[in-house]
Amino acid sequence: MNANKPNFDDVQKALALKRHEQPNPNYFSGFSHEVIQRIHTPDPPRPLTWAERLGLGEDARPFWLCGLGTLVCGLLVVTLVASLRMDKPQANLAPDLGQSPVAGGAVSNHVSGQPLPGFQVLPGQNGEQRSTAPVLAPEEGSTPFPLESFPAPKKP
Amino acid sequence: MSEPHLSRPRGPTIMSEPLPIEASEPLVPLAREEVASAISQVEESVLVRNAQKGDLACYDELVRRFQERVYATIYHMTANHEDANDLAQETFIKGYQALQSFKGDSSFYTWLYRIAVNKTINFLKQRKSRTQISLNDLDFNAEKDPDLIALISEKTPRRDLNLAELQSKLSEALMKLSEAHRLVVTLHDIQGLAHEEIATIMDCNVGTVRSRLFYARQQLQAHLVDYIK
Repeated sequence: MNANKPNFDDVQKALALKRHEQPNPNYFSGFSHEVIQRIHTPDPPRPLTWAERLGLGEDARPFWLCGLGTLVCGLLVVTLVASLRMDKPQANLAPDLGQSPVAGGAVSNHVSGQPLPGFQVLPGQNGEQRSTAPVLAPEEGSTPFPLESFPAPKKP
Repeated sequence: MSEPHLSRPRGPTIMSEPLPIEASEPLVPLAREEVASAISQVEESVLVRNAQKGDLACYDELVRRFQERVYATIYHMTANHEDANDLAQETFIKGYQALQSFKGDSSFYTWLYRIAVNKTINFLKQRKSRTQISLNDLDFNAEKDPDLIALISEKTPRRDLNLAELQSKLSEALMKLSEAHRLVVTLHDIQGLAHEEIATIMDCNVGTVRSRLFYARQQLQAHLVDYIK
């Protein structure tokens, strides 16, 4: 058991050397007097550094870090909201380009009279028929809307 | 019965000795040396109480009583005489400013040590790795210390090692320890404080003090392996 116990005797003897490190003999004769003098006449406050004048000192560091964190979070939120709003107008445009007929019949092709996908024929006030198809007459053989690649809306 | 100026302390404190001055005797102006001598006989609790009322002469006496120990602790922690001088003075100044907060839960010595330790650790953390060692000279008693003589001449692997070199290596090894480990070594192995007292100063339990002391000694032994067996 004792063999396993580390022996620090030499370390402790070496540390005893530190007790012999002493300041010069007259050092403490005026020490208390200096302390009392400094209590009577406190040291003037040290001049502020430029960083402290701008409120960037060490005392203000936590506030600046909190502000910076808030700013970063705010920017992230603004970016997120802006990206969501940019998506919304595209979703609103989709019914104008190829609005699926929820109710009513399919729109007819002006040329062939065939029903055009995605357009509705709505009854007008005077009995005429109105469609949501574009006004310009398409060329023969061509679809009235160049974006014919839009898939036909699926019927519910 | 009227009480003289320096009255017996009240509360659950130890009784003070009968005071030499009684109210019935005519008052005679005392010389400064006599006043200092009289104050040096006064108990610590009375000095503290009077200092709390603003008596700087009593606080001066408290400074005189603890200046060497406070300075020594800070010096061994910083290994720099100039820094130790500044920090020791600031410790006593801070002690005077915070004197009203001393409630007597611990001894004044322990309370003052805590201020010194906190100031020193904050100073070392700000200074970080910019260590500037400025050691005091060894007094003449060092060469007569039998333990040191035996350590140098017989047990060191390097027989040509002298005390000054060992002092330098020892200080370097101490500065490699963390502040907490250096502190326990300073308070226990250099200044001879008990584990319980160290635990009060460092605000930890005795087991923590013992484990830190063990680890610190291990580290020192490893650092000084070329100089001591």
